[in-house]
Amino acid sequence: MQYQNNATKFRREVLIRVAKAMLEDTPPEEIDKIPHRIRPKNEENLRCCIYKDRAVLRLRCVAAMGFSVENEEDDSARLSDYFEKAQERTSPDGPVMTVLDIACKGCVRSRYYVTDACQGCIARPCAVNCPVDAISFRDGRSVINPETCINCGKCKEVCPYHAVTKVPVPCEEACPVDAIYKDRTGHARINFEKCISCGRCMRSCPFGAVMEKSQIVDVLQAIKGKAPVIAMVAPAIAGQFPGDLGQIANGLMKLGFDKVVEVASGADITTKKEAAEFLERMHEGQKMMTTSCCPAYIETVKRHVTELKPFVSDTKTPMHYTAEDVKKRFPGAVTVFVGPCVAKRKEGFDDEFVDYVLTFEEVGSLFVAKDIEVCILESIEPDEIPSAEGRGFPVVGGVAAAVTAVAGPDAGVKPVTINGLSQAAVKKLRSFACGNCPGNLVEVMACEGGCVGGAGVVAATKYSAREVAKVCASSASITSM
Amino acid sequence: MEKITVELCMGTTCFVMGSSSLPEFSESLSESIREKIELKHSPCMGLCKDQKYGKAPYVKVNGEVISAATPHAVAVRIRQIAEEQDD
Ligand code: FES
Repeated sequence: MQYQNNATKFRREVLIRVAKAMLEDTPPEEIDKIPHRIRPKNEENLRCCIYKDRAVLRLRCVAAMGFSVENEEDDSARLSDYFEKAQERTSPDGPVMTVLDIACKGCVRSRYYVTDACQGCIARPCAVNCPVDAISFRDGRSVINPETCINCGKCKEVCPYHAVTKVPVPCEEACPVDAIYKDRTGHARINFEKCISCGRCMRSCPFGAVMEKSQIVDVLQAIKGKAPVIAMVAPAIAGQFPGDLGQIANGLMKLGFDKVVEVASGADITTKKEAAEFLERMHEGQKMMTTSCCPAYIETVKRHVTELKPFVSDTKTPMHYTAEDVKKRFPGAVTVFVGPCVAKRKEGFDDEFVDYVLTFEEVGSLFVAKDIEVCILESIEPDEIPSAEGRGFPVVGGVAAAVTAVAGPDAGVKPVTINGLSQAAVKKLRSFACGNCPGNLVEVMACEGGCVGGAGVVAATKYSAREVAKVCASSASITSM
Repeated sequence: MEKITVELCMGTTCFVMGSSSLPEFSESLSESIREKIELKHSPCMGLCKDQKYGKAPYVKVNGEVISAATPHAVAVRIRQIAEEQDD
């Protein structure tokens, strides 16, 4: 689904309101009214009525304050109570995603359907080719019997009028690992044993029924505390806000961070280690190696494609190396990763050096809440300039290109990229594990286009990929550093 | 030739609410209309501070505000203006 849509906007509006409540010490009775403020009287209903709109917004606020919302124990609890609880929390916890059951439409089971375009032809290839005889002819056109249909899609393929259409369940279709399903009431539920935290369901649900648990309250709370708080920005940040990297860094300082470092420096460490590891593995006679920096991919291997484990690089992610370095240089500092990624939250929970993870969407909401006009700020100089390759990590092909550059022309690197972890891509990865990989270095990015197309981005992928390329063009190559 | 000025707001609020996709508005316009366009990028126009202008992102076409702007809505308005100019 096109990323710019109303569901996204509502989510951002909620984040902005919650951030404002935190920054402006909003009194509890005002916090309780956030849903009313976002959805005042006399506006067009999005759902059945204004009350449902507000009830859903209330749940969005709860998720924005960092809580899971499925099976809410006390649905009469006030937002201000949640807000207070959020501020008392000392560390955020999993799972990363949460389903707003009342927002879920409860889409009917994914099915094929014959539309009005059916001409009732006499050839009837749909009926003739249906392997289970699910198609009958009624009132001058074909009808599919949902009881017998096995969803094979043959009829859609063969209809000369393109009259058969598939009505999917968007979240189920988007989930690459079958982790989202329907409970007894027909509403979506996530199986967290299977979930890889990629965020695809969140961006695909047309009703905005899946959200992630935000950490904005936690981070603002940390900023209020005594310890220095350091923002570690992912290279995909170029183009996420209007202005250059230095202006964005200045914006983060205005938010109250004490320092901003580029994770692209960590990416440089990842590149060097991964290139060395690649050469070693090839030397040992291994057939292929896959990259390891995409956390949704790593979760996929752990939970679903364990046969790939021996091929995954042991090198740690850019976030890890950056956080480790920051903790060493600034003992006692709080580390906050700022990136495009929802799955990084899961990685953050598991990494001892990472305290919090924010998405660009959350940071954008904080900018708005604090009225920080990024594009007119002064640009601040970074104390360390990472390589072009490190800064190029977030665009599809970027990691493989970096490793190839460092491994050198004689290394015989044959890169293969998995651009987006779709259901088909998971199948492909399985076949790679069985020895059917057309190359020897597999770069996996769970999001189409790379991290710049992540579930937590603000800017359109096209726009940000261009900005990332600009930044890379003005940086030195890792081979010349 | 009469110009059509298009001002895209690149202020933080508008950007967070989706203005990065707005430059795409020109993709659906004909060459002759595109030539008339004078494109500007503006920092916060101040509209986001006032509820009465509707919702971000904002675009001004010949000074007239489009709220909750999308590339499509901007293109439609430009085409209307171009037609009026031709008459
Ligand atoms: S940011 Fe566009 S009007 Fe304020």
